[in-house]
Amino acid sequence: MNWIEEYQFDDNQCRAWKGGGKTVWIRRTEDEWLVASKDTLKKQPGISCSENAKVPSDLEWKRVISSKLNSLKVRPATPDLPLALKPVEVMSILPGEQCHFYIKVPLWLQFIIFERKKEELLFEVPMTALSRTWFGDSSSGFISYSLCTKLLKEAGKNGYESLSIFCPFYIYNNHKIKLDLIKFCIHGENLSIFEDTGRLVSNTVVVFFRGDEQEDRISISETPPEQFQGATRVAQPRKPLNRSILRKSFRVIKQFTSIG
Amino acid sequence: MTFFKDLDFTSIFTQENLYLMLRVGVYVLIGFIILRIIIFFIKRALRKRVSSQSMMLMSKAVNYIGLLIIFLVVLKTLGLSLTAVLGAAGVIGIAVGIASQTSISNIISGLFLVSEKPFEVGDVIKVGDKTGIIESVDLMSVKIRTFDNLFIRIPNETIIKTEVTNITRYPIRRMDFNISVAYKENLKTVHELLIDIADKNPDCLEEPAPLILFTDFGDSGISILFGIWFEKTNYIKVKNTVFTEIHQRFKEEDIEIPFPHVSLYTGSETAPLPVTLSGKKDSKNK
Repeated sequence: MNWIEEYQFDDNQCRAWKGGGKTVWIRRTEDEWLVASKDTLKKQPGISCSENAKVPSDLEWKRVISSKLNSLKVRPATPDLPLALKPVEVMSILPGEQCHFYIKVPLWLQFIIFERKKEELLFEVPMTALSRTWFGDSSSGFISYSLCTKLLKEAGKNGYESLSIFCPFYIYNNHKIKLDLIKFCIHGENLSIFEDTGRLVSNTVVVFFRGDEQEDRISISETPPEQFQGATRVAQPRKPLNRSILRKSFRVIKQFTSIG
Repeated sequence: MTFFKDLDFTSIFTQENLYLMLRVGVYVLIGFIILRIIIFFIKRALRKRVSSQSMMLMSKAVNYIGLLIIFLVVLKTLGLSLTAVLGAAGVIGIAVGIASQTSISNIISGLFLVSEKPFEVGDVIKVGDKTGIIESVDLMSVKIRTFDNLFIRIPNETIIKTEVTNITRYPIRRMDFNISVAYKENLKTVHELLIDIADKNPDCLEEPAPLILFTDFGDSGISILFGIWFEKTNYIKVKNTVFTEIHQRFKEEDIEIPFPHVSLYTGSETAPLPVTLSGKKDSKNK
């Protein structure tokens, strides 16, 4: 991933990052950082950075005063809200069976200004436009991004896929009734991101489905997924793990299944 | 004037009395400072743990208790018997109570409001025809700020008696648009168009799904209820964007929004309504 790196800027230099349907321009002046972003019609696979980028005249710059933080680094990030996922094909897991698949979590980019150990988030942007939805019932649910996705058997490789983070997902149906995966939720903000030979992967999420009467057990691994042991951590989770939220998000599955 | 002449100030401002007044002043000052410090630390400790309304109530309760303690300390310092003061307070209380029934009713209503918690500071409520953001929930009244920046004090009793709508209680809301289309229009096309408008608007939530209900065969056209769900903070944005979008897309797709026409008749009772055909002259010329 050649874009996950640190950048030094000359005075008045402007760089642009392009990816998906989004372009981000960042300019450094004497004591300011200037940031602008724009949606583009042409979708670009992967992310590229251009030095001394041409700047469209109609850009609306945001100015950030910072005289001390002179360097910039680009970091991948997970979406800032949970993801309500609707599988393209409904998957049913029979009692006692287990299932393993990958979910493509849309990538965000964070632009961080830093000097030695001090760093500040300058700007962050989703590389794919996401629509919002409500997950759960009207009183205890929460706002999340809506995503219609394929439940993949394999994590993708390079190119266009680098606009996604592959999240390994395991479900064990420990209940006596089949589980229909019609809609479920991932708290992407609790996931770390690892880089493995040109692709981004997150921690493994494991769900033990126990039916309506009992609490489901959900675990998120701290380390890289088993399949990507050589992967290096490139981003920490946005938020520390909150077990109760995890349980709630999977509990909603039951509302959409044949159980109860 | 003779009253002041007869007054012996030297007997009032004796060294002993001055010392006593100084002591009372110091007690009051220290008491107030300690009370402010306690309230400051309570607010700081609770800021992230409880809602702003609970924090306000707790700090007010501490404030009133603190003031009562300071008052009792002052009385004791002045050498007044607490039993006599409390007895007098009881008698005065009854008299004041009878004279101020409304205030007491407001206070009791305030206690019900605090325990029932129909709203909190920062919520948007509608009481009667008044809508605004709650600034504070006090012992006697609820203070709201309307959207045109007016300050309204609503007595607690009124709130208890009236129907109160808490507009921002839940994080999402539904916005309803009542639309009418001409009888000649294809309702399936209209349905698809409305769904598309909701889909393409980034502030409309995908779920709960938009509601489209053909409600009535009206006088001028078919009435449709179009309800879209949105986050409560996006009210104005959603209202304007969806409204504009409906108008524009209907225009583009040539879908007629019928509206009642009014003909003004200014002639006498029996004379026929004069009608003029516009455009006839032009067609003749052609």
